[in-house]
Amino acid sequence: MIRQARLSTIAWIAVALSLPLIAQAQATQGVTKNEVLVGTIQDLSGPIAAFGKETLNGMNMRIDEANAAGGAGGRKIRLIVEDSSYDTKKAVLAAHKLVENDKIFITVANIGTSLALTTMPIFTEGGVIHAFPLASARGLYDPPNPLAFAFTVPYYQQGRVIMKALTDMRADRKWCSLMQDDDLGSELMKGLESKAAELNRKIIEKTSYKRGATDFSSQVARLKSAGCDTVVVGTTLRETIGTLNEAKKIGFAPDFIGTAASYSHLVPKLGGAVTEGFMSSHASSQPYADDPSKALRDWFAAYKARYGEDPGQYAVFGYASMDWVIKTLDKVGPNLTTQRFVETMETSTFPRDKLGFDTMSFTRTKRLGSEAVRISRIQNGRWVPITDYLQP
Amino acid sequence: MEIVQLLISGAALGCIYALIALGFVLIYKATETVNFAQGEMMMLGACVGYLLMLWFKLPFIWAALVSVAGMAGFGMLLERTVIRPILGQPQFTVVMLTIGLGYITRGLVTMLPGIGTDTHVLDVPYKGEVWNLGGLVLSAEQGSIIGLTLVLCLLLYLMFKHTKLGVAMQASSQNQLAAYYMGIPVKRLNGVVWGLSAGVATIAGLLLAPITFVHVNMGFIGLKAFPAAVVGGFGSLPGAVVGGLVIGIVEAFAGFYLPEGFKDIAAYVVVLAMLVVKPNGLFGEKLRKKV
Repeated sequence: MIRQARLSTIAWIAVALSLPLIAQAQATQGVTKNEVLVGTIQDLSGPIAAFGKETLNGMNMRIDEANAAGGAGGRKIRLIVEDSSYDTKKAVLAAHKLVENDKIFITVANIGTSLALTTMPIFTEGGVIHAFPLASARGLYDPPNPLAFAFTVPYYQQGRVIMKALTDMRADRKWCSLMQDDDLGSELMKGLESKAAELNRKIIEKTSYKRGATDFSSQVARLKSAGCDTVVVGTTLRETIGTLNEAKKIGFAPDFIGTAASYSHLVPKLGGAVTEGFMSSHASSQPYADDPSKALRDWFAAYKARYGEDPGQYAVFGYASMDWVIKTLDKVGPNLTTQRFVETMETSTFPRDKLGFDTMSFTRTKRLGSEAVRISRIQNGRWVPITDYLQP
Repeated sequence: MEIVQLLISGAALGCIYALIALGFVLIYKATETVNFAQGEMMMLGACVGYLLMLWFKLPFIWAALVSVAGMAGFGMLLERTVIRPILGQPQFTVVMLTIGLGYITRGLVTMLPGIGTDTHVLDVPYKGEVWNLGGLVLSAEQGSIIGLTLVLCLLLYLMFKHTKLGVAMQASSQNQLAAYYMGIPVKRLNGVVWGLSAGVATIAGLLLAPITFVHVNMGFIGLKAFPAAVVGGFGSLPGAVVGGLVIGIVEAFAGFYLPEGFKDIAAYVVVLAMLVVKPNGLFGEKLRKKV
C-alpha cells in the first residue's frame, strides 16, 4: 500500500518537474510577452571601474529612452548587471549566473578583453547572444560564431594602424613597447609586429607590467637606456599616467602612443599637463560639449543632465551597443527568437551616426561591424584627431 | 649612474613596502596575529586624507596630520571592538577576520560619495617637483617617501628604546603573561599598537597617493609587504624596513636587467630563497616557547 503510494508520488513529482522543462524547450530564454532580459558584465569596482560605470550609464540611458517609447519590438528591456572587478574568475561566475539562473536573452557590452574571451563560450554554448563586448580581440568575432557580434576593433588591427600611420608621419623610428601582460598587450604586440614585418621595421625594446601594477620606474628606465623614440603602450587609465609621469621625471620624451584602452577623457583629466602630446588609436570618437554636430551636442547635454558628469568614450560605447540591439529588436518585432534576431542582425547595416562610429555592417561571415581606426592626440587637454579613419 | 638611479627608485618603492611591513610586524610582535587588512588601512588613511582636503578644504599638511591621528584612533577602536573579543581563538580565526575586514573596508569605501570606485588625485604641494643631483633624478614624491620613512624609523627607535611606553611594548611582545604580572596594561597596549600600526599605514598611504592615485584598490600593494616582512624576519622591526628595501630594490633591478615578466615574480623568488636559506628572515630570532 505504502509502496504503491510512494511510487505514484514519485511519478507525479517527475511529471510536475518535467512540465516547465517541456514548456521552456519551446520558448526562447529571456523573452516573455512583455519583457526581454539583457545581461551585462561590467567592472564596477576594479581598475577600470571608471570605464565600467560610464558604459552602464550609456546603456541605461538608451534603455530608458526605448522603454519610455514603449519598449523595443513591443517589449520592455530589463537589464541585469554583474560586476566582474576586471577579474576573469568573477566574470566566469557572473556569466554562469546570467545564463543559467537569470536566463537572459542577450548579453551586451561586457567589458574586458581577457574576460570576454573567456566568458563568450559560456554564453554562446548556453544559447545566449554575445553582442558588442567592450573588448578588443579577434577571437570575439573570428572564426564567426552564429551568436557573436563585435564592434570594437581589436588591438591587433589597432597595432597595425599605429605602425602604419606613425611610419607614414616619420619613417625613421626606434620602436619600443610597454605592454600589459595579458591579451591587451599580446594582441597589440602581434598587430604591431605583423605590420612591422611588412614595412621592414623592428621593435627594439619590449617591456611589460602586471595588470594593476603601479610602479613603472624600471620599465621606463630601460626604454630610455635603449634609446627609444616611439613607445607603444598597451595600458589602461592609471598605468598610462604613471608611465608618462615616470618618463617626464627622468627626462625621457619619446612619442607615446596607446590604444582605445587609453583613449579616454579621464587621461588628460587625471594626468594633467604631463599627458600633452600623448596619442591613441581608436574607433569611435570622444564626445565634447562643443562638438560641431548638433545631434551630438544634444546627446552630450542630455547625458550630463541625467548623470551630472561629462560622458566619455565608454558612455558612447554603452549607448551605441544598446542602440544597435534595440534597433534590431524593433526590426524583429513581436515574434522574437534567437534565430530571428541573429538573422536580422546579419542583414543589418547601421550607417555612420551622431556618435561618430564608422558604418557598421554584419553578415553570416562578417561579425565585426567595422575595422576602421583613427589616431588622435591630446592637445590642450582635449583629444584631437590627427588622421582620418584608416583600414588596417 | 643608472645603477644609482635604479637604487633610488627601488628604495622609494621599498620604503612603502617597509612602512606597510612595519605595520604588520608591530601587530605581530604585540599580539602574534597577522593583520591581512594592513593594505586596506593604508588605503583608508589615504582616502580620509583626500576627503578632508575635498570636503573641508584643509591644506595638505593639516589633512595629513588629522588623518594620521584619526586613523590611529580608528586602529585602537578596531582592536577594542573587533580583535580583542576573539583573541585566544585559533590563529585561523583572526586571519579570516582580518581578511574579512579588508573586504568590508573596500566595500564601504566604494559607498563613500567622493571616493566611490573612481580614481582621484591627491593634491600634494610638492607634486611634480623634481630634483636634479648631478646626473641623478629624484622626484619630490620619492624623496619625501625615503625621507619620511627614515624620520619615522628614527622616531620609532627612540620610542622603543627610551620611553616607558616603548619599553612596555617590548616587554609585552616578548611575554604577555610576564608583562601582565609586572603591572603592564597589556590589553591597552595592544590597542596602542594597533593604533600605531594604523597611523604608520596612513603615512604610507599619503606618501604613495601622489604616485598611484587615491582609489579603492590601492591597498593591494600591501600584499607585496608580506615578502618584505618575511625577508626581514616577521618579529623584527628593523627587519621589516630592511626587508622592504630589499624587495623594492630587487624589483627595480629585475625590471631593468632581466627579461620582461621577471619584475613581477622577483619579490616572491626572494621570499622563497629566504625561506629555504634562512627561514627566520634576516633579523628574525629563533624563539622557542617552553611549556
